Order: sequence, then C-alpha cells, then structure tokens
Amino acid sequence: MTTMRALVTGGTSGIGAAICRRLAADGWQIAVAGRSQERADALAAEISGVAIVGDVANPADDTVARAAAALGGLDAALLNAGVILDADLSSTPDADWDLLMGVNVFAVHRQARAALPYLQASKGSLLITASDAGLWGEAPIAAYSIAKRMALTMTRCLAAEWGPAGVRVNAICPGDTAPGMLTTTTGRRTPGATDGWLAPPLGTIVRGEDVAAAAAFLVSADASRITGTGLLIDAGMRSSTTAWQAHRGSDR
Amino acid sequence: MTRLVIGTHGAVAQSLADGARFASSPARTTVREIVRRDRPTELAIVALPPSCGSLGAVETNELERLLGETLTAAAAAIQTLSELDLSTRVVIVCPTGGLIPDHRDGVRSLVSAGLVMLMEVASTLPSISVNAILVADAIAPSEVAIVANLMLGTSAESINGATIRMDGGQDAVLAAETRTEEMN
Repeated sequence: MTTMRALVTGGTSGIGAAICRRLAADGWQIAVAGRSQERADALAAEISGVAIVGDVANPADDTVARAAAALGGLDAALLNAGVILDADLSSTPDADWDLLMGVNVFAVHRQARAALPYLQASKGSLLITASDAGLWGEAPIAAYSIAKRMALTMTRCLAAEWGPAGVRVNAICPGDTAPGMLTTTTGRRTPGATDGWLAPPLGTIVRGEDVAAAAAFLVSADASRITGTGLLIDAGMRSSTTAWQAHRGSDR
Repeated sequence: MTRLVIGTHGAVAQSLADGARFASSPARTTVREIVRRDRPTELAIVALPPSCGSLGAVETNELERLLGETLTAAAAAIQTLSELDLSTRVVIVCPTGGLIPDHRDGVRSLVSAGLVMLMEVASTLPSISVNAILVADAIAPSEVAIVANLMLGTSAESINGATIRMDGGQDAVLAAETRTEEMN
C-alpha cells in the first residue's frame, strides 16, 4: 500500500499538531512545518515525520517545495498556519491587520499555488483551516473574521478551478478548540484553561483531535467526491444565534 | 449632510459622487486624512475593479495590491469614523461574487467576500451603520445609486448589516439552469 504524504503548516502546536498526530496514526508520512525548530523537531521525531522550519508570512518562504522534496511529493497540503488578534475593527492596529491578512490570506494563496503542481501529480487535495468566525462575523476578532471569510471564498473558488485537474480543495471551520488558538496564543487565555467558555449545544468544547478527525476525513479517499466545502466543527455553536443556551438545564 | 465617496471604480462611483467629495483609490493613510477632514455623515465605498481573473492564475502580490486598494482602504475609513465617534451611514458597493463566488472571477470574489465580512463586523460599531450592495457588472449605475442612496439616507435607519444583491436574479437563474442541466 502506498504511503500518503502530507504537509501540515502551523503543525507544531494546537490544531496543527493534532492533525499531524492523527494523520501519522492513519499511516501518512508528515512534514511538520512551523516557525520553531525545537517544536518541529520534537513532533517530527514523535511521529517519524520530517521537520520543515519556515515562516509562511515571508513571501520568499519555500516550505511547500522543501516538504515535497523531503517526502518525494505531496498527496495533501494542509494549510493550517494562522494568526489571530483579539480586537474589534476600530482597535485593530495597521501592523496587526497586515500580519493577519499576510498569514491568513496571502500566505494561504501563495502556498496553495505552490502546492498545485504536486497535488496535480498525485490527484491530491488541499485543506485550508478556516474558522467558524469566517461563517458568522465575530466583532471581537474582526480582522480574523474577515480573513477567514476570504479563506472560505478561496476554498470554493480553487475547488472549482482545480477540480478539472483532479485536485480537491476543502476547508475546516473549527469553533473554540482546546488545544487551539484560544489556549495556545500568547496573551490570550491561560494555556489549557477552558474555564468560562460558552458551552455549545453538545455541552462540550471541541478538542484538537475532533478537528483533526475532520481534517483526516477530508484529505482521505473517503472524501474523494467532496470538494469546495467548509466543514464546521463547533459542537453546534453556530446552529443558532443563542446556541450556547441550548444545553442549560439539561442533565448532561 | 456630508457625503464622501471612496473608490475609483467607474460609473457607479461617479453617480454616487455627484455633488459630494470624491477620493480616488486612496491609500490607507490618505483615507484617514480625508475622513478626518470631511467628517462625513454618509460614506460610500465603491470597490468595483475590473475583473482580474481567477485566484489560481493571479500572483499573490497582485492580490495584495488589489485588497490594499479596496478592503484595507475601506477598513481604514470605517476605523476612522469610529475613532471620531461620528454617526455615519456607510454603504459598501462591491462585486456579486462576495456571496456566491465565481471562480473565473475569483480575485474579485475574494475581495468582495472580505468586504461583506467587513460590513458584518463593522455594523456592530456604535453609531455607525454599514450595509453592502453586491452588484453585477451589467447593472446600470443609476440603479445602483438609487439603492445606495436609500441605504445612505436616514429614512431606513434600521437597515444595518444588510446585504442587497443586484444581479437581476442572475445567480438564482444560474442555479436553476445548473439544476436543469443536471436533471437532463
């Protein structure tokens, strides 16, 4: 059986690390990409993958090419690297706006185009990590919401554009996830702490491995007829404007 | 009432700018200066660039340039209104692809999607009302101006965070035609 090969950007922590572990457990060979040499090396060693150190915000970054060279091609590129800012629109500094767009939109576009030749050769798939905030606007993270809406539009456009070449393009839209940006981003909540999170209708927060399972499905052969979709993994939080109230009074 | 129109993009901007101040394709810093100077009560942001083709074909730096001229400038204008605590009605006019993407016109679809989400998050800011009109290329500028004037005026103050698609029903027709072809 042929070993499948995947690049995971932002793969050294949070959802990205969970995806790396899940795909490795499923038998994939993984290129763990991130900015931290130490974390990339550690996770690559853990899952018998390869570490790729780079900064996707740098227009000259060649993470995709190096990963493809290391793995001998790519069957999936999971563009997961992202940044977030806790700020409404009026209090978003220009530098942060530029960084969010640079990483969450332009880097994704650049890397998607870089991955296309490899994915075309393998009839593989691209998976973009968007967000539930890209589906509904979240004013307290305004620039992030805007960027993730564009990531979803990019997913749909590239799916239509690259479908004839045999390349699938999908997105995952995680809600509040632990570990994830809410727990691993410096200056946000205490790492690992989920106290005070609004509980969605299922009465439980989303775990990194839940998102990883969705990602693993979308890049697998089981999803061979799925392209242009944005899969929401939020335990029901976006099912209603007041969804978090649904679990109150229940016996869970 | 002081109206400011931001945007370069063709006859729609011109039709809205009649008698108003007009700023052509401004950079972020210039936008802020103009908004501070004019303190508009009505702001029309017109982002209807010519088609730039598909996302797979465009270079990323070209995408960056176009988003800078449209989304970034629009965000800067609204940020400045908020900073000045002005009561301003804002309308963003952008291509139809922001809701239902057209992959052949993917670059404009992406720009428009960003502008629609900008409208959504900005409509929560105190004292500012923000709405969006998504316009197909074939729609007459005068018709767009009628709808934009409604949204900019104070006769419909409860309209905030709304999206109007002006495509003559084309997207709905395309969906129906696609379904028919599938059925056949």
